[in-house]
Parts: sequence; C-alpha cells; structure tokens
Amino acid sequence: MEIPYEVTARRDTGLYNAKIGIWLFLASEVMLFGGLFSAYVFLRVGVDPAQGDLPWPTSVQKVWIGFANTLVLIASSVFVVLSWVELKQRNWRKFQFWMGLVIACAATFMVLKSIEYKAKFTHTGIVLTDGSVIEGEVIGKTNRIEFEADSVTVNLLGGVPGFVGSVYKKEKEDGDHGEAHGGHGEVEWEKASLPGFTDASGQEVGNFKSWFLAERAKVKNTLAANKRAARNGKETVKVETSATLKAKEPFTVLADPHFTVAHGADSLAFRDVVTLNGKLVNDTVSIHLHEVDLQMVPFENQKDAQVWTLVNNEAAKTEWFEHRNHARDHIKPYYDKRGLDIPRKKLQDRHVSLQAVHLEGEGEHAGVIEVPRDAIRFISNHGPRYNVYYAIYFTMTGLHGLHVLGGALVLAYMMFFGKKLYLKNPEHMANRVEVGGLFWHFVDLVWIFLFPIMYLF
Amino acid sequence: MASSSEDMEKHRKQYWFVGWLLFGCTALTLIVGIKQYYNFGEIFDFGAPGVDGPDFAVGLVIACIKASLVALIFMHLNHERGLIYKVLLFTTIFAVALMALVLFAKWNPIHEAIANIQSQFS
Repeated sequence: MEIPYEVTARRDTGLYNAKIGIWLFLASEVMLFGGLFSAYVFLRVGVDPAQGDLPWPTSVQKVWIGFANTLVLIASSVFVVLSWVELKQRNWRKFQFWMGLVIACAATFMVLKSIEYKAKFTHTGIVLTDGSVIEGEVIGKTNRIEFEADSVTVNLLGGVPGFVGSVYKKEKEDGDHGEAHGGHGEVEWEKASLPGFTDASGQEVGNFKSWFLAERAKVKNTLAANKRAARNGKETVKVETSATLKAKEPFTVLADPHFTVAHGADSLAFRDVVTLNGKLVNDTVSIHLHEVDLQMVPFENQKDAQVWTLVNNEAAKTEWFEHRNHARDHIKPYYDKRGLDIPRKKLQDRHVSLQAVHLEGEGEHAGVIEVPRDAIRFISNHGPRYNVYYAIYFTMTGLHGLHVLGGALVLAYMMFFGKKLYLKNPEHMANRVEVGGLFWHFVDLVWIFLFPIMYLF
Repeated sequence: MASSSEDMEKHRKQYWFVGWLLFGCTALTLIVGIKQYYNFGEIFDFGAPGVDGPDFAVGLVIACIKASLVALIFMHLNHERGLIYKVLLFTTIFAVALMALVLFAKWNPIHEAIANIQSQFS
C-alpha cells in the first residue's frame, strides 16, 4: 500500500505526514516529562527534615558522569543532524559513518549510566534513631536478620507475599533445580533445600504450598458456613485460623527487615502474619564506614550524636570535626563581613555536616563498624526507596534512559537496513532520518535539564 | 527546508558551531554548580556562600539557552511551518500549567478550606 505524503508536503499542513506526526508525539512527550519535572519541584520543596525526612541531597552525584553524559548526548545530537545533511547530499557511506557515531554515543551513555546506578545500589545508608546517618558498604548479608527457626506459625487467612510466598518460590526452585539459589526478595535460605514439616497432629506435610492452600480453603469454607449459620440462627463452630508446623530439623533464614514487622530473641514475625519460632542468630549490621552525615542532628549536639558511640574511635571523630569546622570556617568570613550569624540551614547542610570518616585498622574488618538493629530507624541502599530524591531520580533518569535506548534502536535500524529505501527513494529516507533525529534531539533536550537539577544543584 | 548543496554546507558549519556553543554552555553550568564557596550569589551579593538559589537560577537560565539552541537550530524550529508552532503553543500552555501546579505546595486551598470549617466548630 502506498502511504501518501511521505516525501511531498500536504497542501493543507505544508508538511510531510511523518513530520506533523513526530511533532504531535513530541508534544505529548513534553507533557510526560513536564509532569515529572513538576513532581520533582513538588518533592523538593516538600522535603522537611523537621518531620523526619532525609534532607534533599544536593550534589550527591558523581558530577563527572553527568557532565560526560551531557557532552556525549550533545555530540550525538550534532552527529545525527550531520548524518541527515549527508543523506540530503546523497552520501550513503558518510551518513552511515555519522550515524555509527550516534549509536556509539548512545552506548557510551548507557554504560556510564549503569556505572552510576551500580554505585547507588551498592552504597547503603543507615539512619539511626537520633537521626544521625552512617553511609558505607554493608558487609555480606548482614543487613538481613539471621534467624534459626524450629517451627512456623502461619496465619491461614494471611496473604501470599511474605514468608509463605518465599516458601512457594523455594519449593519451585527445589523442584526445578534440586538446589538453592536464594537471593530473592523477602527471605533467603541458608540451607540447600527446605526442611520437612509436621503439623500439630504429628502428620507429615509433603508440599507446603498444597498443604497451605488446602488448609486455607478449609478455614474459608468453615467461615462461610458460620456466616450462613449465623444468618439462619444456627450454632456456629469455632475456627482456628492459625496453624503451627514443626520443622524436622532447625533451619536458618536471612530475612529482609522490610518484610518483617517485629522480631525478638525467640520469634520473627513477617508482614503476612507468619511467625517463626526459634532463636535469633545475628541482628547486627556490619558496615564498611565511608561517611557520617549529621544533617539531621542540630549543629551544637553533633558531638553527642549516637553515631559516635557506635564508631567508638576518638581519632576518627576528631578528624570528622576538623573537617566540619574547616568547612564552617570557610563560609564564616562572608557572614562576619556582614555582621551576621551563619544561618542554621547552612550549618546543617551537606557541605558542612556530612564528612568522610577514615577508620584505621588491619585485616578483613578494617574500617567496619557493627550497628545493632535496635539503633536503626531505617536502612536501605541508595535505591529508589532511600528517600524522595532517589525515587524521582531513578524515575526520571530511568525513563530518559529508556528513551535513549529506544531512539538508538530506531536509528541503528535506519543505519543497517535503510539502504534499500535509500536506493528506491533517497528523499523518503532523508525524511525518516530527520524525524528520528527530531526525537533524538528531544532526548538530548530533556537531559539538558536533568543534568543541572539532578547533579549540580 | 531549502536543500541546495550550498545551503547544506552552510548548515553543516552552523551545526558544528552550535555544538561547540553547547559544549561551552555545559562547561559554564559545571563551573556554576561545583564551585561550592565562590559563586554568583557571593559576587553580586544577592546570595550566600555555597551553591544555592541564585546559582540554581543561573544554571537553569543556561539550560534554557541550551534547550533553545537545540530546538531552534537542530530541530529546525527557526524556520518551520505554522502548524507546528500552533501545536507547540498548546504544549507550552500545558507545560506552564504543570509548572504552575507547584504553587499549591505553598498555598493549599483544600487545606485552608478544611481549616476554616474546623475553626467554625471549635
């Protein structure tokens, strides 16, 4: 089928069809990113450390990556428009050359982005109960609660996500591979396979999932029957909604604290109302300390912040305060000249109240501190969950990254498979490249704004 | 767009020029953004040490200039058909409205109305 106005302009619009199409699409893209930029401003002005929010972390990014990526995208914008010029002049080889550079730029952008994302996911922040923050790298899996259980109390009306869900996954894995993989979500299993369970009557429970579903169905049926009985004025029967399973041998799990609701020395409760009974093995997070952030601790109380009892190292503490005071003294003359006190906001901001810490030591545990879980208010890597900044940062840069990927795929298609169309109708091919290029410039344009707001200010 | 060979050569030069201009603007943004204790606010005495409001404003102005260069030159908006400007006019209106929404962060009519009603009953 011949599509009209691919090369010649329509008389009413004065444009070839693809061009009006791409501009309408870009108009909708402006709305999409506009909404996100608006959300960014909302979140930024709404952060209130007095309410317990982590402060907006300005200049937290590795600036060189953002800077390099800006240059890479600008260069690719120049290359894409040059490749279009070459097509207009009917130089297919030169078109391919410039377009090849565009694809190379896109690949460089994505590699730099992945380096940046990886650094975020391996960096952890721990907010202590007094608001002081420890940043660094968690050693092993100590951010999880290690618990040795000998029995499990399940709630038969509970949901599947949580402990029960993780048993489902584990059973499936054991069935599929006959060995443990661990590493998913709520619970990781120390043992190679699930222990067998026996129920209250001493009967063996074969497959946990089938047992759970059958028991759940029974309870639900009884409850429904009770409802009918009550409606008809008949007697109802007592329903036991929880059941305890005994493990044939104790088993150890590493539970993600985000999926637990409470735990003590002899029990661990998940948010799907499943409780493990046994003993707590390890509840201390080991972290390789990089930085101490006291932005949420009033300037005058920073010497007594909770973090120093955990760090327990006078030299490191002295060094931190030397750096902090140095940063404060750097801004002091400005206010002295004007006869003003340094505003609290300046004293509390990241450049003064967040400094690196160097812990001396030897061997494997050099620079590592132990943080008991009851001292922790919140722990997370610098992923989207850490604070609103990271949430919007990953949303916006992630969506932008997908645009880079999509644009690069389309342009690469034109470069590798466009020859046939070029030979048939070179002007049609040039128009395609122009339209693809318009999208590419838009992607560059979005980044021009993302760079200053995410990396610099 | 005109597309004679001479025109194309002219365009080629223009694209390179704009590319270098954009590189330069990016470097300028970087200087405004990373100099922590020496900045626009301090030089002209309308801000404070450290990167803050005035520096942010300067950074965004540079970003707007860069965005305009990309849109006008690379995206050929400096000589495009009327219909595209009409489409973009609506886009601009909506984009401005989206940005204006953030004013609700400072002034919340719903919250105020509720507070008014509550005060009548207390």
